[in-house]
Amino acid sequence: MPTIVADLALEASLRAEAITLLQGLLRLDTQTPPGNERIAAGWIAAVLDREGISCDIVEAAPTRATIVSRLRAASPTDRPVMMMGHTDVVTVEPAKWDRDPFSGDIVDDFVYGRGALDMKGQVAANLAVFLAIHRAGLPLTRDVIFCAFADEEEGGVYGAEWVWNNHQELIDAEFAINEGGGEPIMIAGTQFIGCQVAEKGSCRLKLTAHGTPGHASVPLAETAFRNLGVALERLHAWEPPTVIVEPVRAMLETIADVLGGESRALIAEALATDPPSWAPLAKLPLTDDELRSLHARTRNTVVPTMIHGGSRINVIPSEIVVDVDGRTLPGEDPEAFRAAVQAVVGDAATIELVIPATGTAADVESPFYDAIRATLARISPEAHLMPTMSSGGTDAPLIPGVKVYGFFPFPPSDRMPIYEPLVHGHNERIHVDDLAYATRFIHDLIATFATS
Amino acid sequence: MTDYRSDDALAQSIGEVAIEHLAALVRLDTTSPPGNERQATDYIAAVLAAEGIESVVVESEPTRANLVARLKAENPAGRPVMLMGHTDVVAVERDKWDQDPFGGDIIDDFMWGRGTLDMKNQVAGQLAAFVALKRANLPLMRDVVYAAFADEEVSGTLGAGWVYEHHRELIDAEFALNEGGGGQVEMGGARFYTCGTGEKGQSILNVTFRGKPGHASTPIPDTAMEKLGIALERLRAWQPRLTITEPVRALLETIGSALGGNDQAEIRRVLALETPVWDDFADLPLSDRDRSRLYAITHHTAVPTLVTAGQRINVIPSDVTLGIDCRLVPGTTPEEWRQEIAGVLGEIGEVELVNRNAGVVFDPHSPFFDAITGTLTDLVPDARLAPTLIGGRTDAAWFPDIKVYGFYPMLPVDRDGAYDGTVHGHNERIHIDDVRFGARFAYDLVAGFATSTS
Repeated sequence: MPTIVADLALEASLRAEAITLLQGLLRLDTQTPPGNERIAAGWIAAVLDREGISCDIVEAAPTRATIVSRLRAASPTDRPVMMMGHTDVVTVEPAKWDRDPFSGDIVDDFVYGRGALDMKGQVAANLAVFLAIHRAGLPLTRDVIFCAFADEEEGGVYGAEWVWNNHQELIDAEFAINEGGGEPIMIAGTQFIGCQVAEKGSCRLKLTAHGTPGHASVPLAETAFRNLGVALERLHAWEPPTVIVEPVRAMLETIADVLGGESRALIAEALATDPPSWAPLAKLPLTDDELRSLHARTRNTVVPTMIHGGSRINVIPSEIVVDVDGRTLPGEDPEAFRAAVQAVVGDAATIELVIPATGTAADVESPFYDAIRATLARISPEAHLMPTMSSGGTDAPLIPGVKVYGFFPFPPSDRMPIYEPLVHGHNERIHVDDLAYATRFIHDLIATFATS
Repeated sequence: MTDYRSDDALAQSIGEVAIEHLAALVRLDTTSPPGNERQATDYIAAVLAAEGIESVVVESEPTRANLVARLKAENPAGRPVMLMGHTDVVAVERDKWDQDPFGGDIIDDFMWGRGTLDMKNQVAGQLAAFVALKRANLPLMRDVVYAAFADEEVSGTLGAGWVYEHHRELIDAEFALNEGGGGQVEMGGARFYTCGTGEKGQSILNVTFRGKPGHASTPIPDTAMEKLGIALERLRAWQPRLTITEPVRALLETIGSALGGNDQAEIRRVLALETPVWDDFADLPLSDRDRSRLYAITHHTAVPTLVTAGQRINVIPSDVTLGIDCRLVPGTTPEEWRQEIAGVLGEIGEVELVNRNAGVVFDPHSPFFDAITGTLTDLVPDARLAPTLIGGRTDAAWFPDIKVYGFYPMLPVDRDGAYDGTVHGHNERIHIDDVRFGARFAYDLVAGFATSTS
């Protein structure tokens, strides 16, 4: 009988291999743009090749490579399960780092490098698990797919979206584990760990304020800047209506069940009305950040993030364009969302859809979610699994036929506050114990689930 | 005294040459930045060389060329008079134009193109006049200098300012004719030409708004972007105070005495007020356009024109910068103004002064001003000339010891708003009769003034 749940020896070997793989991946500069994920795909392919595992590398554009590999079940009884990730990383400001962001150096048990958390750490863990399952020769009842996409950070057009549209057969999984969840959440002294079962859509809008152009020496009444001010004030004053989608309802019900007492009453009160009421939720025993996060998950949101208006100091421009990051709930119609934002800004600006997107939701009642819960109960029995919906931004919505669960679990530790500013920030790093914990977790989850 | 003014035949020939030069200059893309004014000075130098006139071209930086040429008086009795201008133009938003902004095409008697009003028309007209003066071989009593500067639209530090600092001997004029005036004001049914005898200063303020950064998936309060919105609203709601300077007082008095009657009484009443406010001007018989111009030259202004924020769509930026173009009535220092705007915005932004040009005032009582008046009334008998403060900034501010008058007139003909909003805007164009008229005016003015001994 082969080892399915990792014993101490396998745990040690998974740990060592994940660290080595992560260091190797961090040394590859896959900042996007331009991405150049081909160097990561080629590197992974060489690792697989040493073990006699074949793979497919597909490119949406030159150098924008996605790598997919598969361990086949001899007589599959179910559809595949996939460990997915992306190899591109966001850019760095090297001067702000204490360490070379592409060194993979280990300092005080932290592996440093861009992508350590987002998400070469998980790619390395997935790869270590994939190799271990291959070596163990487990009696698979479904195929296990390893996939590392290109172009997640810039929207997936050259990555997950393209692969789904052009090579769907490579990633025809029923379930997938992805980035996005796994963070420990302490609520009123109770330990939860989030599993991301849904996410909002990143629905990019363009706000254009128009006005009379002219020379800046003569003030004009109806300028683009005047309208910009009005539009920004209206956007910031807007309180979008509260909407509670199914995954958020499941999350709130999990919290209510575990916490009981006043929290249960507040959640019941919020859910009792139609439309639901925000006021009771605002009284939950949450930190300000957690409340804001819950607020964002119970409505569509709009945040203006980029403006490059005007061309010269002495010219009143005829228009100013603002890029607006919109986040839509699962099920939201992007055009209806656009129209709602247009109604908010009124005649001060026009609102266009640049990237229409809606959210995505996987089922909370599924054998894979149950498997995650069971694995967690065995490895960290004190933690309660809580379904969560992220506010968007992973590849999950781009592969709509796959039920994607975001889960890269961290054990509760005093390191969590350290990690908070690191994703997309400076000095990104992961502690080797955390990498090892998640690697073991993913191993046990996939080894169990794919053999059951 | 000999009359050296143009006759109709000469005027017509100067006009046609001016049109030809204007079309040629418009077709040279001297959008600044980068400017690349060398193209224009090459053209002008070739025109002058063909007439046997030497020119000096000096570059502050490669391609940022300034050209100066001179017709020498044999026995000068006075210091030189200068015809000055700039060859750079502001950028265009090409898709907003109905015609090629660098085509120089003439359609229904209008020549289209960036610079046809600001100010290749005057550069071309003054060039035609300068060449005609050379050909006429007049008995000059003072040198006539022709100057075409680079870099007026951005700052002048690579143009007029640089030439003044490094080659002052080239432009050692007593008087200069420049852009900035020549506009017409309708008041009480009468038409007045205005001559710039001073100009507001330009101060540029950079306001930085700072706020908490974060991921754009989760809205947070007190962001830099939210502060920008508040600041723009505060600027919009704010009413700057009214200040009357001497050129504006002279303008209003000139207009008042010409109009007489109730209008004059109303103007006197307003000018006598100890602390007039803008509402006091409500009853002056002005068009909307002239009213907004009068507003501009009686108020410090703060007009936001540039804004930059954010690098990535999904990151709430930690800072937003807003560029505000401020035009100060002479008498207020840029630093005083910075503090005032900081007060208007409150605590939400850090206000920094990045450019500090104070305003200037030139004495309107001079023989050259009188010559401008005389030349104008010769050409347009019922015209009245009034000094004014110019709302914009020109190269005049670089030349503290030259009396620079902004005056380049057009015909007293209503162009049905064809010029409105086109300077630095879209569809800039000029009626070719106005090109002809400006060139004739420049010739007559200098032919008379540079040959007179007074």
